[in-house]
Order: sequence, then structure tokens, then C-alpha cells
Amino acid sequence: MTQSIVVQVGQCGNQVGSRFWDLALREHASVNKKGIYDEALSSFFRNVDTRRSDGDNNDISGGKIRSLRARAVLIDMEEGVVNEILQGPLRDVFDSKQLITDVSGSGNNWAVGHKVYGSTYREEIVENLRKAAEHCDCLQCFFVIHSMGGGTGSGLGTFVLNVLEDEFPEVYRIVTSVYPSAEDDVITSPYNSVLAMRELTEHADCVLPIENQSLVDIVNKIKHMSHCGKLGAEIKQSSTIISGQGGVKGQEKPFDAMNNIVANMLLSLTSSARFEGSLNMDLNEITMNLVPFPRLHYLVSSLSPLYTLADVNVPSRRLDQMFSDAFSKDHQLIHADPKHNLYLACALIVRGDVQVSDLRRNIERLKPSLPFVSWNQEGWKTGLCSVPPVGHSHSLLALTNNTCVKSTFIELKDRFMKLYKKKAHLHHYLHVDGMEQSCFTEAVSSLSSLIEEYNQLDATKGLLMTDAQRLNIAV
Amino acid sequence: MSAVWLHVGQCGNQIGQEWWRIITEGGGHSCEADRYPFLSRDGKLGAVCVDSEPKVLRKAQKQVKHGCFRESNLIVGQEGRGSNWAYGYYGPPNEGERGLLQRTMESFRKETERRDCYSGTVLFHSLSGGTGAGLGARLCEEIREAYPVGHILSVSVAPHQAGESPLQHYNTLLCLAALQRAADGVLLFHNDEALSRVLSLQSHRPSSLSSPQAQASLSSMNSHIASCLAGLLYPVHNLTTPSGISLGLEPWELLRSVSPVPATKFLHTTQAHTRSTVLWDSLAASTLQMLPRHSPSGNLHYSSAVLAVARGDQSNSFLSSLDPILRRLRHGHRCAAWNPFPIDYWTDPQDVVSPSPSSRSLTVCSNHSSVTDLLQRVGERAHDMFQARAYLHWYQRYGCEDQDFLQAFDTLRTVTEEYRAGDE
Repeated sequence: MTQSIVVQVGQCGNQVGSRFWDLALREHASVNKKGIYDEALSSFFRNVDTRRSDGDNNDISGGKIRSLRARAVLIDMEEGVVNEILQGPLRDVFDSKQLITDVSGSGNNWAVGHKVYGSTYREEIVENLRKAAEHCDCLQCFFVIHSMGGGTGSGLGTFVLNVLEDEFPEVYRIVTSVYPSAEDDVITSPYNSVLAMRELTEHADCVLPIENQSLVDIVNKIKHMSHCGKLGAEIKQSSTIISGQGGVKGQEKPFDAMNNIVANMLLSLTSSARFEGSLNMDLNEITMNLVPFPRLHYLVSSLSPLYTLADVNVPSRRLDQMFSDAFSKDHQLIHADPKHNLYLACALIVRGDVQVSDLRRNIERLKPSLPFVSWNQEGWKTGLCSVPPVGHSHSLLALTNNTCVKSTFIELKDRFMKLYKKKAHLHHYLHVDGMEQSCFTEAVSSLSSLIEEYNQLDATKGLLMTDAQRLNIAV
Repeated sequence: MSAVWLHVGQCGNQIGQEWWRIITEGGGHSCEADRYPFLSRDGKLGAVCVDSEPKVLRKAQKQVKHGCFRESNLIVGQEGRGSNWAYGYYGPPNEGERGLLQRTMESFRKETERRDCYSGTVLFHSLSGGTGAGLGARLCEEIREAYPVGHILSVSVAPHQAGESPLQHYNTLLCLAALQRAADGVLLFHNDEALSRVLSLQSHRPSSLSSPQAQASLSSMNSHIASCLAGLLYPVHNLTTPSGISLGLEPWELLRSVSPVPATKFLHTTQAHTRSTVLWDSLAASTLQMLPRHSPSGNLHYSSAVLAVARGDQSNSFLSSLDPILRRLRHGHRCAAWNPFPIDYWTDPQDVVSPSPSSRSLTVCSNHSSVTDLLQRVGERAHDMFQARAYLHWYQRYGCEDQDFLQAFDTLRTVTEEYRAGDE
């Protein structure tokens, strides 16, 4: 069994991260009734005997759970968020040695995060990561959580990504990046995002882009359903993917609902690696199957169902609905239009009481309406995990590598160029030691060539397919 | 007792779990001596199980009767081979002595030494995974080299054609090419056929109100495949010595019957079984239903050799109505004219497939040219992907080169031509 380490950087990264740990504990608590430290728990947690005073060598494998420690490294250049975590109910899950903090923040400046704090804290970061890796028998993956628009998450987060590649080249790097919406209140977010994009394209194995606006839409949709509850259609409150009910945390904070969605996505992503199922799918299978070309590793994620109804009987018609929903735009975590672009590959991670025949039937049913690239018509990767998420009897996470992400990148590039042409705010960046104009031009050209690669694939759409029986039914 | 049973990867071990369940619990009335080909002298199963991650083997250990597997024959890695044939075949770089390959060959060697007379290996694996296809192919080649006189019969499962993994075409391509070189016979099973067989069996039963749509689980598909295998490889009366002890020759006699030409070694299996006394003739007709008669381009398929195994033949009813049954099978499989003995048959009074005393099963194994459908399809799809250079960086990372792919394309083309040439 393998272990993964979560590296959460910046305000957004740490807020999403803390929701992840809360919900992970909740999920394991609902499955692990006997309190035994099993292999599923060991993928994200260490079992520590706190009575012994020597810091590092007190990991216990197997046996009863004593005290769980998250396999995580928390990095933030201002103290507010991390301090809140340490004073909240999750404080026992983190070791003070796992944190790297500073006081003054990065001022929403990628260069400050990447160049200044990067060089200052490099050794401490490497030290921290090494210690966390030593506690793992077989480290398979680093999960980096950050945002693209700020300074710390964006700059220092991508610096950490570089460090991970240098120090642990064999370990996969899966990055969850929160992209800024068009109405973002940080003026320099386009600069930060484009500078970070270049690092992601070159150093990450796989990126899951998330957009705040999509999360807001999902939250609103659920709240709307809860309020206009029709008779017989009442939602089980603890089952919504925005709910943190049943977790350790007490009161809900404003961004919690949105962050819970991302946390749930990460839990589903790793479910088949942690729990048993009839068709296991490990984390390295996700990267290998969904990334046909090394730079095109941006995956659109979508979750379904968003909630369960209080009514327990779920006829299989509902099951089919779950599959259809996963391919509807309302359930995606970024704004994009996959059905009108080209699918390069698609992974379906199914959890709970679903049989292989249901899975095959739904793939057959959905296939005609989803345009796949000509050389990957059977580009489906499937996994069946028997443990459903808390409050559901089954759920589905769909991860798609689709050329539709290029629209997000094109928008990002446009916003960047608007600022860059006027050289607005550029001096804040160029003042930083190590930062030059070439950093900007290189970053933009990396983004342009990425968009161009997606365009070239799109150009192959509709070309002659060998199997004449398959028609693309326009949606 | 002569065979070593080797299970590789998730699919290989899941089928193995069902297979050993049939063997250890199967047909309560079958005698101890019948299990002789499958157990070592100390009562442990003669199986070696390897997987690159621990979950499946742990489950198999729990399901099969406790204490049956020999602990030292269960070899697990930590982190999976990521659906990558090259990763499974070459393994992680710098793995050295404690790698999966070395440990498996070590346990395998010890297991062959426990045999009275090692005759060969039966290898269970899938064609589309990383461990099953990659490590399976590697083990096949290593065993062939280390034990050149022994047979190798592989049980290979082909993935759903509509897509189980984007890498399935590359993996199937490379694995089939390796099997063609190193194995003596390949019992080919298809997930699509297994699924439709399970669903059609279900639709004969009264459906419950809560699940109007027929459902099939992976374990029911695995059971179906395991029961076809049991139908073929469990001891039969013909091959058992008068003392009643079976030598476990069934796999090798199967190869002798059904693989007359070494270049064409892919075998198709169907099975029909029933609880009541249905005529053998209608069981034969039932097995023919699952046989793909035409290729997608409309050509008729043919068979170069067929083996039919009838179990549950208490009153010798099979033998007494032999001619019409053989004629029906010969016609349905379109047996090649150049083979003077196109159909072989074995019988046994007990049915290992299901426990009730009056049950009967007929398992038919045929060297059928329908394998060319799979070979062509895999070749085309893999070729499209290869032209687009998709996913190749993952294979190159672990040691595969373009040459490996080109050779594999050639091999598959040659096999297809051999099958076509046989229909003259």
C-alpha cells in the first residue's frame, strides 16, 4: 500500500487543505469501526504514540489507533490561516514541525513568493519534505493544493513543485490549482496565474484546475434544492458535497462549502487507492492513462451526485442519472464545454454499490454523444471502489482530459496581455531580485504553445474514423 | 501431479480466487484423489500468486479456505504498475534482487521442485493491465527459458472492446506478441463475452422487483471464466489411471488436441451447463450460440481442432449419442478439412461445475479463427495511437522502444495470415 503527502501552500491551499483533512477523518471514521490503524488510514495518516517524548521515531504500524498525524506540510507566508488551523479542532492532527510560516505575506506577488521566499526557505522546505517522506514506507504521490491568483500559493507553491521534482523525481506530483475568475478582486492575478502556469506545465505530472465560479454555482444549486424541497424530494443534509457535517469542525465558515467540494473531489480521487473494490485503480494509473502527451495534463473534474435524497430506494434509473449528470456542465469544477470539444481520455471512478454491468451499459449509452479523438475512441479508464462517500450509497468522479481547457487558458492569456501591454504593475515584479522581463515573455510563450498544441488536436476532430458505424450525434 | 498454477496481476488473481474456490469446495461428492493435481504433498495449493499491490491478494486469501495458500508463494509489491506494460515487463529501474520478478521466479522454482514431475505452467492474467500483461509476459518468457521442456498454457482475458483503459491496445498488442513467442497455447477469454453470458443467464431467472435490469458483477464474470476452465482442466475419466489418481495431464493433453499447428495457438472456450437432464445435443447447440461465426467483414470463421469435455455423464448417455453431437459441433465450428481427427472428446461421470447430482456440463474448446478479429482490431487501434505518438513517453520512460511496437505489429500480422492460410 502506498502513502501520499499533501503539501498545502498559501491561504487558499491551507483552507482547502484543512477541509480535506476534516472530511478524510470523517470518511475513515465511518468505515473503520474498530479503531484499528489499517492500511487505508496509513495512506494519509501516521499513527503516533504521543506519550513518548522523542519527536520522530514513534510511528506505530498496525494495532489500535493512538493518535493520528496527517502526512502533510503546511506552508504559508502569513500566519493567520495556519494559526487558525492550529487553534481549531484539527490541531492534534498536525505537528508543529510540519509547518513553515512567515509573517508578512507575499503581497499578491508571484515573484516575492517564488524568488524571495523560495530562496529563503528552500532548505527548510526540503528538510520538512524529507522528514515526511521518511515516515512513508512507499511514497507514491505528492498532492499540492494552492491557488493561482495570489502570491504565496502561486509563487511559493510552484517553487515547491520545482523542489519536489528535484528531490523526489520518481514520486508523482498531482496539483490542485484554484484559478481566478474573471471578476477576481486581485488585480495582478493574471500575472501570477500565467507565471505559475509555466511551472505547472513543465513540472507537474497532472493538474486539476478548479474555478471559484463553478464552486459557487454548485453551492447555489444545492442550497436552492434544499430550500424549495418538494415533498418526497428532501435532501439528506449531511450528504451534500458541500457539507462538513459529522466532521471535527464546529461552525461553518464562509468558504467552507466551496472548499468541501474540492476536498470531496480529492477523497474520491484517492478512494480506489485506499479502499478495496472489484476493480482497483491506483493513482499512477490515473496519470498514465489520462496523459497521452506530457504537457497536456490538465484534467476537468466533475462530481455526481451532489446530494442524496432522503428517500432510500434508489432504482437503477437514478444510477444512470448519476452518470449523465457527471457529464453535464453543472457538475464540473471548472467552466468549460467538453461536449463541443475533443476528449483525449476519460476516467470514471465509481464508488459504492455499482456493478460492472451498470458501468458498461452507461459507457455504451453516453459514448455516441461524446466526441473522442480519432486514435483513442476507447479512451475510458474505469475503477470500481466498494466504499461509498459518507451519506451516499454510490458516487462518481469523472476526470476528463479534454481540449476544452484551452478556453480557460485563452481567457487567462487575454487578461494577462491587457495588463502587460500597458506594463501595469510590472515594476512590483521587476524590483524583485532574480526577476526579469524574460520571465514574463517565456511564461506567455509557454502558455501560447500549450494552447497551440490543443488547437492542433482539435484540428483532427471530425477526420476520417476507421469505424464507420460510429456517428457523432450533435448534442 | 505436474502443473504449477501461476496467477499474475489483479485479473489473474481474482479469477484465481474463483478457480480455487471451485477446486477446494467444488462438487462435494468429488473425491480427494481428484484434487491431487492441484495440491502439494502437504495439502497446500500448488499456486504461485503475484501482484504489484496488496489489496487483491489479501482479499483472495480471505475468501479461499483459510490456510490453503502457501505463504511463501504469495508475492506482493507495494505500488502497482499503472496499466503500463513496459513498467510491468521491465519493472522499476534498479529493483535488483528483491524485485517482483526475482522473487516470483524463486518461489516458482521451489514450487517446481515440489512436483513429482514438473510438466508445465498454467498462467492466469489479463491482456490489458500493467502487471498482468507486462509482468505476465515477462514471466512467460523467463519460464520458457529456464524450463524449456515444460509446457506453458496461458489463460488470458481480453478487455471490453468499448474501452476499459486507454492503454489497453498497446498492452494487448505487446502481450499477445510475447505470448505468441513464448507460450504453447492461449485460452483466450473476452470480458464482453463473459458479461453477456452472465447477463443472459440472469435473464432466464425470474427477475426481482427491485432490480428489473439484469446486473452482473465482476465476480460473476470471473466465476463464469473459472467454471469454463474447471470444465476443461479438472480431471477426466479418460485420462485418469485405473487406480483413480489423476496425474493432472489435462492441460497438456488439451494442448496436444487443440494446437496441431504451433503457429496458431489461440483457443476459444464456451460452456453450457444445466441442472436437469437436458439432452447433450441441446447443450452442444447452446455452446454454439456463443461462438462468433463471422468476422466483421463477413468472412466465415473456421476451426482447426476442437475438444469437447462432457461432465456429469452418469449413464454414458454422451457416448451413446456421440455421432450427432460430433456432427453438430463439426458443422458449427466449420472444422478444417485437412485435419483427419478434428474433434476430440473427454467424459467424466461427475460435474465439477455445479454441485447437484444430476447436473451436466459441456465445455467446448476450439482453435477458432475468430481470434483474428481481436488481433486485427488491436493492431489497427494500436497503430492509430502509435502514429499519433500518444502515450509513448510513458512506455519509453520504463524501457520500451519503437522497435518493440513495430515487432509486435509484425507478429500479429503474421499470426493473422497463418490463420487465414489455414482455411484453404
